[in-house]
Amino acid sequence: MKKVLGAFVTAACMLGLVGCSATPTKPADTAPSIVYNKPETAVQKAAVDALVANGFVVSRTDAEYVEGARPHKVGLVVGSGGESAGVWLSSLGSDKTAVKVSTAKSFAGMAGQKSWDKEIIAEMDKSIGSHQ
Amino acid sequence: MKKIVWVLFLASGLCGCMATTGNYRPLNQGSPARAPDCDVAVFKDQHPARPYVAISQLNVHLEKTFFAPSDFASAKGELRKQACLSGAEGVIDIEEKNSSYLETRIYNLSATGIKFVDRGSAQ
Repeated sequence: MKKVLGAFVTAACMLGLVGCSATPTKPADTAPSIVYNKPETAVQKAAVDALVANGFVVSRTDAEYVEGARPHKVGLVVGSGGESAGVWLSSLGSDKTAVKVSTAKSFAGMAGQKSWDKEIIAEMDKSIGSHQ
Repeated sequence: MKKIVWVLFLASGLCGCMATTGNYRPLNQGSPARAPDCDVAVFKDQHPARPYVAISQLNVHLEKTFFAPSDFASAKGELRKQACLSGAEGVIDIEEKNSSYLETRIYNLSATGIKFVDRGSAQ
């Protein structure tokens, strides 16, 4: 009985761990950003749409920061999800906005996770036009 | 007892093998929400003949592991729900995208929610 309960608690802890998401880290100031010839509000909306289109559940939509996490899925071998992504915006004028994107992978379930930076940028390009 | 524990464990695992997320963003000042099970006209390949105004940007995202694919039929319910929540009476410009990563099959649907300009459509 004790053994069975122990196994159940271990399984529950594993599932709990898998449920954790990492927090995305802002790329260094020296890291290159991409620039859109659009005002910050338009780029922020495109960032929200881009996260949603890539399966992220958006948790923060500030004027200069958007964040979301992808739900975990249990799979046959590795499953997927658990990544979180952040999009940092900074206005370079009335019609220019610099953008930095970063995906963070959680400790558990990392084998089924990937960086979504390219997909997020591609989706933003699709909605507001290509970046510089 | 052991059986129950395994059933619970398997059930929790199976529940987590798919994720459906739906979302909408108001356009042109949006519109008040309608009942979540309201009637929505879906214009998959053509635009409606009646005049309309776009009121929301809709998105439905489905991911399934175990190599199981998704299609429009599996996203239709969430699309209708999001359309109703956004106050839309119809859906146009449906765009579907399939992709995959390892054993996960990804299906994304984006569309525009509309409201007919002359009142008297479904609700």
